[in-house]
Amino acid sequence: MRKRGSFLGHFRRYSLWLSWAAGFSVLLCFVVLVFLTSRVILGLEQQRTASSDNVQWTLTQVEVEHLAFLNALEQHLHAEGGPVPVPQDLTKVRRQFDVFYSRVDTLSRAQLYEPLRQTSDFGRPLAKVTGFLDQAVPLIDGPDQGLQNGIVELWQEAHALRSQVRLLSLHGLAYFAGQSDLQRAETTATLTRLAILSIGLLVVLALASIYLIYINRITQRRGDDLVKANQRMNTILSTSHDAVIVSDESGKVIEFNRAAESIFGYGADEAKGRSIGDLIVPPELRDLHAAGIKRMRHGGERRVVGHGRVQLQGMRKNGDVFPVELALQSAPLANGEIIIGFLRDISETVAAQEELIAARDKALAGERAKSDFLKVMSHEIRTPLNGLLGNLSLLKNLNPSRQQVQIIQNMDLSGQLLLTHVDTVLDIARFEAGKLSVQREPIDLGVLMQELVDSQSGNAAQRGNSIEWQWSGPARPWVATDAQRLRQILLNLVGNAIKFCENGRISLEVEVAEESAPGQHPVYEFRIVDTGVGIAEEHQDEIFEDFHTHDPSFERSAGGTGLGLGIARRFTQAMGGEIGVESSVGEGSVFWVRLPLEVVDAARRPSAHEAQLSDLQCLDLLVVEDNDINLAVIRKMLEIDGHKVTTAKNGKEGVDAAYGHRFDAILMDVSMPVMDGPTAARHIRAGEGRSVDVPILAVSANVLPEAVQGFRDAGMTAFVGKPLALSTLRKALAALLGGKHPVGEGSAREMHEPLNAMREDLGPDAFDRFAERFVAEADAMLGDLGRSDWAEGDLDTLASQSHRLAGSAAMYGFLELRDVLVNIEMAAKDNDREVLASLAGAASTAWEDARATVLRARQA
Amino acid sequence: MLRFLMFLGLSLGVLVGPAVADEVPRPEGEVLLTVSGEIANTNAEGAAQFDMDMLMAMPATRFRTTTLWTEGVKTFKGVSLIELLEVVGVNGKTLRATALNDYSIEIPVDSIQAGAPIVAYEMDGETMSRRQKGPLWIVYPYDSDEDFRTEVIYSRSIWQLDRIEIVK
Repeated sequence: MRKRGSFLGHFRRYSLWLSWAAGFSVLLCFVVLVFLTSRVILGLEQQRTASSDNVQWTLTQVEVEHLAFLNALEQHLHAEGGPVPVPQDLTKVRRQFDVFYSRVDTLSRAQLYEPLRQTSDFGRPLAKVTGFLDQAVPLIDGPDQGLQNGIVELWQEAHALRSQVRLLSLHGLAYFAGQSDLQRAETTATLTRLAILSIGLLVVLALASIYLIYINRITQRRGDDLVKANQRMNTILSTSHDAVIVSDESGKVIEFNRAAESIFGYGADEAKGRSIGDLIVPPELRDLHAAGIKRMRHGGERRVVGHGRVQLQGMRKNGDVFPVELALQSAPLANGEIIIGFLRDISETVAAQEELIAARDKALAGERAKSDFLKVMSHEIRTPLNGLLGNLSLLKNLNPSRQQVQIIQNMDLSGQLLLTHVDTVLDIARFEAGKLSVQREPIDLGVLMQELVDSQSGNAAQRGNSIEWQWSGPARPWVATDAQRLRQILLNLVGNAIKFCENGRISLEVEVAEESAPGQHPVYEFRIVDTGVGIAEEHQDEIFEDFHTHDPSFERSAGGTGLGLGIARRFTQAMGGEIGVESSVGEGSVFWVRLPLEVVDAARRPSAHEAQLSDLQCLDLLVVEDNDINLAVIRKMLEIDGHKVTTAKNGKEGVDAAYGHRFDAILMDVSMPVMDGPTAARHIRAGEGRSVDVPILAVSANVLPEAVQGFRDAGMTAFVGKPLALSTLRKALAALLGGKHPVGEGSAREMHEPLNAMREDLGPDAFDRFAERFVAEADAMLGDLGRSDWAEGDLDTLASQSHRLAGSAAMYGFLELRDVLVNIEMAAKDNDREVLASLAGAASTAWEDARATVLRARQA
Repeated sequence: MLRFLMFLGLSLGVLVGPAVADEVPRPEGEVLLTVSGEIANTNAEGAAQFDMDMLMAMPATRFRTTTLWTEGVKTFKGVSLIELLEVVGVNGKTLRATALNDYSIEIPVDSIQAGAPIVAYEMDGETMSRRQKGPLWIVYPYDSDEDFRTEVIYSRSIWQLDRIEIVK
């Protein structure tokens, strides 16, 4: 383009130069031609105005008139003595003399003969003739007698003059002939020059014509090209599906193509010349548009022009406003700039887009609902299942018979399996929601592998399989990783191997497969090798997919969710590793997992915690609790751990018990009849009993900061939330006696175990959503409870609402609230309005506590 | 033959019309110019004859010009030829002028203008002798117009004018 441009530039300069040269030559030729022509015309003019008389005539006439004079003389001489009288003859002589004289006089004086007179050939005879005439004048003018007497002599002299007159005539003629020749030659030369110049001019003109024809052809061709290009452009413009609108700098429409007509509803003729702002810009955007044009004209910033596609609002002739996609470009022209706008009606696109977004949102919402459902279900199943398993473990400690032990073990096994399934589903749901967090703690891979083998050796033996593990290569057991996940991965793979292997061998190998580059963790490879049925090549990729069962009938018999390998894959990937299988049918399979693991020092292992827990065994504890069931559960829990438990039914009894005996610690309920927990704590601290300074652990459902602060003010050392779980209790005691668990907000939050567990299970987002819903529902229902004008139908609704809310309260661990709600439900069912009214206060108090706890947990 | 007959007829016409001949006065001095041919007024047999006094008595025309045949600018004075022709009552179309040496030329009557040519009788205030192309000379004002500087005009500039014949 650039090259072409410069070529065109050269061509233009060249042709311009050529035109100038041609023009100049033509002009020069013309000037010379005019000059020569004028000379020719002048020559012709000179000939026309003939500066000469007929010189030949005059010159020959000299001779003629001389002869006439001679003749007159001779006549006179011959007539002498004749009949003719003399005077008459003399008159004739005189007249012929005068005529001759006049002729010679003309030759002597006339300007015409001046050059001729300068020549000696002419001048000499002229002088002689003139001399004769002057000499003869006195005789001629004299009297007749004198002339008569001298006439013979005159004749003789005149006769002698003949040769001179002849010379005169001849020389004159020769001279003028020469002059004439000269003039002719000059004219000829001029004409020749004229002819040559004319030919030259003709040639130049011919060349100029050829050049002009050439230029004309080029121009015509360019014109044709331009016309074609124009037609092409028009075709493109008119067939474009995008509206193309061209305007000048001020926004006046210059071009308006067919698509523009159909999109905006204006005809091209109608649109041309009008301001684009008035045509297609919606009224509310016109100020902006005008400002943009003004800015552009003053050379300011261009926000749209040349900035690619922009989405804006356009307006049709009928006032419809619709979304357009707009791209503006500007092009400089000789008389200013033009703006070219490409516009596309994207109403349908936008509509489709919105539809898509709606569909996506719907799908996402569905997906989330599904995921939420899974989480809630898992949680809801797990909570009672935990209770079941907890009670089973309690049952084992009640000295059951041998048969009962067997039943309890079976129940425990089934329960554990069910729990595993539920956990699996929950894991997947969490993973899908992106909530799968990977913990990192130092572990000993040797211990982990050994525990794995130990736990699975029973299952393996049932199917006649042996199982063992070993290091392949040097052992590097201490790594920081998520032990639970790793265990899960390996467990799933081992479980799988056991399932598909009968009377075979399962060997596990661990190898530090790749030496790490600096700054990177070494890659550990775990191999689970079995001698089972193997997997066909074509199925090897599928087996890691969810719900894949290699052989449905077999799978069913083997038992399983079909999620095991899928979970293993997810976990492996979440931990930054790879998983795969090598197998041949009938020979067995090798499942391998490669994980980059951080190698840590053996010294970092947290043995202190375990030691502390073991140190806690056999504590002497006082439990102050008014609720018999709660008291029994707490007591059992503590006794399982080997503690010695003393109980008290209220604060007063507690204070008394603490006075006479020094306990290792006191667990104190807060709301009790006779004397509440904080008062009892104050009494203990203020008295001089033996347990005056032992740690007092507040046990309460009220976890509000003010309440917690109140417990501390009363001299209580720490706090756990209700309902109590064994693990929480263990941690609290360990912290209490280790002296590292002061009463505070952090501990309070941590201690509401069910909420934390739920939060852990659901993930913070889902938990927050549920919490908000729970709070909203409870607020709505309990806020309405104070009224007394219950209609029959309302009570039914209230009953079902109470039932639902009671379930939620139980799930969140708000047992007091649950109890109240259950009572409300029953009262509502019985149409007992009085009981309902009396329950309102208790419900509202319980809800206030629960609400605060939920909200705090949510904010955390 | 035709000319002869015409000449005869004319001669007869002149012979039978002596009454008009008296309109042109008779010359008393030497006859310098004889006009003959198709003319209405005569003072001699078939012709009108003029002497110097008669010519000088007619209204004179004067101009200054150079000529091919003289040196320097000259002042010519004479009778306008057209006036002379009016005096003789010209009927013909062509005027044949003849000099003393029988040089003869034709001048179409149409080409004669007022004041050009004149039948000059004075040059620079003096009458012209025969040796000076006198006594009568048909002169055009050559300098006043380039139309008078043509060979035809030069050829018509007849000097030593002797007689004029008017032909049809």
